[in-house]
This record gives sequence, structure tokens and C-alpha cells, in this order.
Amino acid sequence: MSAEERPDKLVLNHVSFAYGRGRETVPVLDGIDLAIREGEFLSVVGPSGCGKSTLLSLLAGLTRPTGGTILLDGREVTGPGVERGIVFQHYSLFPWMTARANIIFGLKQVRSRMSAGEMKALADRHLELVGLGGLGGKFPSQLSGGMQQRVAIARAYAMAPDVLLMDEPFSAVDTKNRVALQELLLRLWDAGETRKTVVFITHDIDEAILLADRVVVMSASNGSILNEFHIPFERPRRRTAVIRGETYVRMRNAVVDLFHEDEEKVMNG
Amino acid sequence: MVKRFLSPANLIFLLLIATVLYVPARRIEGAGTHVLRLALTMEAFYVLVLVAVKDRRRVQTAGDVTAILYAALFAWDIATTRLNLLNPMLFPTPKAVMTLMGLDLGELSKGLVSSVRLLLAGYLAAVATAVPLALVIGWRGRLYRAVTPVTRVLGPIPPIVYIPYAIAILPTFTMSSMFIIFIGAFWPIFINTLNGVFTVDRRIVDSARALNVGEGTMLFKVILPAALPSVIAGANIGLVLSFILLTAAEMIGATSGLGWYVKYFSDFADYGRVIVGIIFIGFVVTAITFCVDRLEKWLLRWRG
Repeated sequence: MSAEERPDKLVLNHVSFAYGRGRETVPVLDGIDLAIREGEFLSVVGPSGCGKSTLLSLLAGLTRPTGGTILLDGREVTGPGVERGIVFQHYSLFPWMTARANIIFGLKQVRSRMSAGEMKALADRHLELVGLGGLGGKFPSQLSGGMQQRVAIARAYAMAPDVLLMDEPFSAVDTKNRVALQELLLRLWDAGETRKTVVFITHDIDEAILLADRVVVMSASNGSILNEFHIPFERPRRRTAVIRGETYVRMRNAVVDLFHEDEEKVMNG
Repeated sequence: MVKRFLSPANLIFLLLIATVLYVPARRIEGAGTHVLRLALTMEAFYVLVLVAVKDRRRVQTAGDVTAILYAALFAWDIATTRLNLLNPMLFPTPKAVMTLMGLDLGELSKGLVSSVRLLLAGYLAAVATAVPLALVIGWRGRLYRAVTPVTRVLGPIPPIVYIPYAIAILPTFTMSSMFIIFIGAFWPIFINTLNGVFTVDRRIVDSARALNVGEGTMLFKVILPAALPSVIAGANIGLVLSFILLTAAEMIGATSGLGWYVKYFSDFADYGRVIVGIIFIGFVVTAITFCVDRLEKWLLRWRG
């Protein structure tokens, strides 16, 4: 099934969000229209403060929009749900639980009937999958930032959601580990029988292009979408081959130019 | 290795031994080998540390603590047994106190059991009510805002002022002292837990909400462990207050217990036994604090 034939998984109809009430409102998102297809990998890029994290929070159901509607499989999103797995930049994991216990805690929310032994086995299998076999007994404070994010991804995958929402998951990780995490994510996403729908928030243009099928660029100023780019690279993608190609450089420049234009508009009022 | 033995502790140890052996006792009831045996026992432990412990820093600390204990024992023995500088009635000799300690160990143990029973009942009741209550109230913004001003007024009342009233309104001494310990421990645990719950990192709460956890799971599996450092800080203050209130209550109205022991014998001007009681309470409190400390470290082992 080609991308165009797949149904919409997540639909945002004129979604707005503002802080405060009455006259003193601060608009964050203003009339966002966006449809994300089933099995699509969508990246959202934008400078800090553009509302991209708010967008993810709305999709997660942690925040309610002040205007418009969000539909998941045609039904309105009114709160969080286990069919949407989330990986945050910080504190995805509970610091008082070991890596394994964190995954099991997630599993308990979706598969209450699974036995403790099965959950443990499933947790360990997913730790293995993200390259952390044998580290299940470690607390997050005993793991590096990159390892913590691996556990968070392992938990999200173990819970088997349809949708994966990621809010700058690799931003606090050093460059070398970030590359490894990006490849891990691509590998996991490619490996499944049915690909998950992913919404990936980042401020890193390279990361956005490298991972996604489509990149949505947000404005720095008015909480709206500036433009979007379809990323044509074949999958499975090989990072080294992709970033050396002419197409990649052209796409990257297009996004950067868009950023600059937007910034100038903001500066000139 | 040999250099390790040249410590201030060993120097004072030799001085102590020399005085016991060669300075004649002016107070005849203080003569005997009690101080000598105590010093030798302490020295045996200290030598064990000197030989067995590798970490230089820890050996040094153990030595310094031992030195302070030797110095105190030395000063006490010199001022009483050897030179008789202090009033014999108010300042018994080390030997007298040690003898009384041995004689009264049974009585003291009975007092310990009685005291610990009161303490545990009052304290555990405080933990069992303050923590869940503060969890629920701290989690609900409206309740938190309503309760905070009330705690600002009730919290700082020194619980010791409740003692006479509690004794008056409650039928037995046991009940009134449990109640006072309960009140004393309740507020610090309650207030600290409340603040801990209120200041739990928003991102942790969001992570839990994203997993779609139920209300009970949120409170007891997420908020409680996240607030645990504050809960434990409150529990510590509560425990210290409990000790104080327990002994105070026992000194006022009890017929048993460690506080009663001290008060009872001071009424008879038996200051030897008063000192025995004080030292014994010191040991008990140290032992309890040590265990609590271990428990805390284990509960918070996840912190980096």
C-alpha cells in the first residue's frame, strides 16, 4: 500500500491553543490543520518557543486545545491513551524504578492480564532490542542520558502503541549517542510488520530530514505551519549515503532558507 | 601500620590507664577496675579498626571519636574518683554509674519495652495517617489551598503544650502519651509530605499521565515515591519530636518507661541512676537513629 492510499491516523482541524483566559491570553498555536497518515513518520521542526512541544502535548491528550479538534482514528482525543506511546526529552522514566521496572510499569497499564513472569520476559526482550540486555536492574541515575532514552523507547515499543509521539527525545544527548539513537529508532520503525505512526518533534533540521517521510516547519512567531517537505529517500535509509547526496543538501537548504525568511519577518515586525 | 597506632586516642588511652593505676583514689567508692576494664574494651575495638579497616579516613575518624570518649572518661574519673573536685552527691564516680547500670539493666529493659511501645504506637499512627492524607490533599489543588492556612496555624504549636490537656481528657496515661506523640509527629510528616507532593516535577506527572495510569496508581506508585525525599525528611523531624515528647510525657505522668526512670530517681536525689538513665536513653536513641538511617538509604537508593 503506498503512502497516499493509507488512511489518516491523526487529524488536526484548525487546532488552536492559548495560555490564560479572557483578555490576557497568550496564543501558542493558531489554527493548525494537519493530517498524519497511518504508518507515516512525521517530523515537526521549529525554533524554541514556536509551540511544537505544545502540539505534541495536545496530540498526547495531556493538554486540551482551546480551539478546534484533534481526531485519532476518527474519534476526538479527550485525554491520554495507551494507543499513543510518548517519549519525552526528560523524565520519561521514573527515577525510583529500575529500567526493567519502568517497562513493566508501562506494561501493567496496557496488559493487566499478563503474568508477572511474562511481563519480565517481555521487558527484558525489549531491553535486548535497544541494546541494553543485562542492564534491566539499573536505576536511571546509573545509566547515561542516551541509555535512559533507549529504555524509554523500549518501554514505548513494549506497550505496542499505534502511534509514537516523541518530544525532542534526543536533544539532551551528545552527538555520538544521538546518531546511534536515530539509527536505533529507524531500525525499530522499519522492523515492525506494521509501521507505527510517528510524530517526532525536534529543532535539529538534519535529524528531521533524516528520519521522516514528511517534515513540517513551524513559524517562530505566530504558532502556525510555514510549509512542509516530503522527504523522498528510500527505506531502509542509510545515513551515510543519504547525507552525502545532492537531494539531501537541497532539502536542507530549503528548510534553512525558510527559517531565515521567517526570522526576518519576525525581526521586521 | 605501626604509625597508625601513634594516634591521639592511644595517647589519651595511656594517660587514662596510667592515672587509674598510679593516681590513688580520694573517693574510695570509685576505686576498682571498672574504668580500666571499660577502657580496655574500647581499646580492643579500636585496635580491631586499626588493623582491619583499610580506608585511612575512616580509621582517622574512628580514632578521633575514641579520643573524645577517652578524654571524657579521663576528665570524669580525674574530677571525681582521683581528685574529688566535685560534689559527690551530684557527680557520682564512673565506677558507681557503671555498677548501677549493671544492677538496673533489667529495670531499664522493662522501661525500654514500655517506652518503645508508646513511641511506636504514636509514631506509626502518625505516619499512617499523615502520609495518605497529605498525598490526597496535596494532589487536589483546591484542598491544598484550603488546608495550607490551617496547617500554618496548627503546625507550629509546640506539641508539649498539649500534654496537660491530653492527660486531663484521656482516660489513661498510655492513651494520652500516645496521643501527644501522635500529634507531635503528625504535623512535621504531614507538612513535609504536602510540600513534597505539591512540588513533584510536572514532567514526572506528565509521564505518568501519558501512560494513562489510574488515580490510585498515580498517588501511590508515582506521587508518593516522587515525594519520598520530603516524606522522609518529615518523618525524621517527627521521630526526633516523638522522642522528646515521649520522655517529657513519661516524666509527667508515667509509672514506667525511660523518662519515668530518670524522673523517679531524681526525686530521690539518686543522681547515679539519673545518669544511668540518660546514658541508656542516649544508646537507645543512637541505635534507633542508626536503623532509620539505614532504612532511608535503602529507600532512596535510586537517587544518583
